[in-house]
Amino acid sequence: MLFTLFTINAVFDRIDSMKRIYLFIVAVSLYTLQAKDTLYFAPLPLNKGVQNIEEFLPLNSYLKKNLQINVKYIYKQDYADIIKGFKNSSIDIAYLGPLPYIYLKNSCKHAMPIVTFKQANGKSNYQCVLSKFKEDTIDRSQTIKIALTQPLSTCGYYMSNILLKNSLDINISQQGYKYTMSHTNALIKTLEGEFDIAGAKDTIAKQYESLGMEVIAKSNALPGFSLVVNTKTLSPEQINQLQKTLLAIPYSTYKLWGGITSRGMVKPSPKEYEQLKVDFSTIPFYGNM
Amino acid sequence: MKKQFILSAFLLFVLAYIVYEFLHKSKRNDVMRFTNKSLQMIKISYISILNTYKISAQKDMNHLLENKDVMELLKKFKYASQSEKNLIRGKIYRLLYKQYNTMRNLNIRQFHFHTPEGKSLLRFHKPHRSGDSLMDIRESIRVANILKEKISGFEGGKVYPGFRYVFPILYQGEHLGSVEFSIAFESIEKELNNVLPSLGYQLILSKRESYNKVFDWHKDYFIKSIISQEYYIENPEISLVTKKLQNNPTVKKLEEYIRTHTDIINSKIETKQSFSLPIVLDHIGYMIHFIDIKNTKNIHSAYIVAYSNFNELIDINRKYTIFCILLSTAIFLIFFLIVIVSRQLHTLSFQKENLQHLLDEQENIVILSSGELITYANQKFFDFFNIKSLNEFLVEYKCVCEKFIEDDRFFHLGKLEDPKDWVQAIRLLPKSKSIVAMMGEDLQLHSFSLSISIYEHNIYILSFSDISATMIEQMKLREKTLHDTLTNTYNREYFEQNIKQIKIDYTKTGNQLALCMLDIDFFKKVNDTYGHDIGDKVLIELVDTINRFSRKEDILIRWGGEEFIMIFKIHSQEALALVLENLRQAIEKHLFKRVKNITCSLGCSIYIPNEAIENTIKRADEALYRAKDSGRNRIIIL
Repeated sequence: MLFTLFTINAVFDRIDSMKRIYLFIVAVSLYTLQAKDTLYFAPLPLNKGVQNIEEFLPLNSYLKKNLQINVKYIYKQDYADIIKGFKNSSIDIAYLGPLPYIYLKNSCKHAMPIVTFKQANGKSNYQCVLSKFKEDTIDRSQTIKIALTQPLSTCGYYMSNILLKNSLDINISQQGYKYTMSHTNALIKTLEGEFDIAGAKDTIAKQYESLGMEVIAKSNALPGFSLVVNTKTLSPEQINQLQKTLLAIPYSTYKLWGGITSRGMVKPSPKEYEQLKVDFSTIPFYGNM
Repeated sequence: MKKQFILSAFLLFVLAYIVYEFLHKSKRNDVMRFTNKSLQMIKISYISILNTYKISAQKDMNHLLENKDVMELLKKFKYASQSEKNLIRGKIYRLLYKQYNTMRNLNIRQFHFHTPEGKSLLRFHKPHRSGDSLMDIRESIRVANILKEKISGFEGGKVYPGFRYVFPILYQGEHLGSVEFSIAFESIEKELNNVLPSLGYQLILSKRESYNKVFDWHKDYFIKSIISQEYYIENPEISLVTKKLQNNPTVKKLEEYIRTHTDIINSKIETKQSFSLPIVLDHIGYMIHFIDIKNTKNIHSAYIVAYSNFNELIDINRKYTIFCILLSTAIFLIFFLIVIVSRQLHTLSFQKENLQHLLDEQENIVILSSGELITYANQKFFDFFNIKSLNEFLVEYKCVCEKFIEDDRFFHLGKLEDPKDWVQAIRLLPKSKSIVAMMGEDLQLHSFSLSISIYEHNIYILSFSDISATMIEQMKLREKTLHDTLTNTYNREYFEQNIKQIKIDYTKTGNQLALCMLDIDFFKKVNDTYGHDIGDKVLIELVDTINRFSRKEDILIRWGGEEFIMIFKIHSQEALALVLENLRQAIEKHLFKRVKNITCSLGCSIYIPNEAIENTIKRADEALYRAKDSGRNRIIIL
């Protein structure tokens, strides 16, 4: 009887010790995933590197303060590099427009949007526009010079081509076009007179109205710019926590921030991305000027 | 001894403290001199750089004023509607962006037009941001647009602080607003590094001039400085200068040092004046300069912090360490010497006391003297002269030789041609002649055998051994050997020993020496009649009679038997004859106890200078023979 009791106790002891080892392994695994206290963030290559970083400084300070995580900037010159960084796990989070997201998603299953930034009108959608300097006239007898952002930018070749064709009856392939690498650059170069038309995001183009730029064509509403996380490098818990924190930023806080972050965020709507039918093979990766 | 030792140690300690303080102060002054020089260099460089930019800004301003298209647009802008303003802004941008690009290449960060009301008209560095009012937060905008004066200086802003050059735009007499050219600190830092290469330069901004002025959404452009909570730096995420410094391990080390030594910096930073911190870390010298930056209102707004190597600090430290080591060694040696000297002095003092005691115990008088001056004397000396100290003696006398009695039996200064050489002279004498006589406190004449030995160069030990008793005995003995035992007159021995000196003495100053031989007439008959005892008594009575009737200087010598020699000092032969006659009569008249009357015959001669005394005696003897031969009881002088 006594022997039986000892045997049972020994079995229970063994089970307990195995359980403890298992729990330890799970805990270590979870800790390893959750322990990521530095996020490698690639902002959109909209402007110059510094300006881009400046725009996200308040948001990142907020994350540091509330989640005790540091955000390190991985500045990439173009979308292709951001997508590459996602694939090789050197980027945890990126700020992307819809087209680059779709391009990324097509080749990397770990990309997942967690928040979409609201626009000035309070909605998350935005539009791509064509803009020109008010006093300039488009001389159709000459080659029209078009300033584009980047090949994988939504407002780049993809939407500018559609808008030129649909609104101005201009075939882009018969005109001169060049990638200026950012929305701002496209607008500035047009303002300076180097180009006749700039393709850019509506909100950015709007800022340049104070410099005599005017919008001459607008696209339909497009899914907004989002923060896309790398599910390969971040744990579901951290992603969840990040999303919750971002969505819970109070108005009184984000209204003090500048640029895209100053209007708050909403949950992304995956269906909106499905509306975009893009044949990436038709997008040239280099300009013709 | 112990007291002296403690006192010496204390004085040495005080001296060491004073010297260490002096060294410490000198070191501080040296460091300060280098520090100030280095600080001045940075200040001058900084001012020169700003002045260069000032000239450049003025030149750009002149170009701008010459650009009529821009001026006309600005004039239109003043009165245009909002939509017209946007277009004009764009046109201005289109006209000037190339100029702006050139300016950027020359490190001008901001090219900014303002309306006459002090609102932003066009920021070339952020062209889409305009319309915000700057009048309240920017003194330079107020001065340029209200006072219509150009102004320059450091100033915070809604985006970045900068070193600003703001000019009012006056075109055809009309005020069209103002324009500013701003230099970012990056440009200053770049130029400073060209002129004075260092570990790094950083701008730390007062909160009022940075954080409090910028757009709310730009507040994250600044972070708190590690150096002080009251100062901000540009966020390293957007500032290459900050990032560069944060990646510099030496600067990080220095910042950490400052952060952990707030007491050093707080008191200085509160002064809002330029200052420097020389620091030694891991045996390497560093200098951190804080150059006060004033804004356009001449209020402190920032510091340029310059981190540089400062090897001179190590050199200075090393130099003063060597000084301190040398000083410590010197102090130790002095202390050691003091201890040794003290011990030696103590030993010497002890030995001196012992010696003094020993010398005082001596029967002899012992003195140390150079011959002229006495430097030391023992107790016997004091006792002999009845004085208490040497000084008492030295008040009256310099030399002990002054106390020597002038007696020819002893050595005295009168015997020397140069009395100064008395010590040498006495040393050359045989011991039997090294005898001096001195009068003691008992007013008795004391004779001393003087022995002299060298103590040290020109100092002699003079030992006076009192031989008065021996001398008396000796003199008595001598007297005895020189006297006739029966009559107590001098004897032949006396004559032999003294005749030389007598000749000298008696022939001085024109005198003459006369030598007489006196013989008792028929003395044999006396002996034969009365016996030798009576004969001896007769001789005694005769000598007594002669002595009574002789002069003091007349010398009577028993020559043998009843024969005597008498030596006279005379002026002339006649005088001699008188003296002798007087003497002859005295003898003749004297009644001798047993024999009653006797007579004497006298034969005399006068000593001829340089003749042998034997010849004089011979002549006297001849004279005596004649006196006898011619009847006796008479005087013959030859």
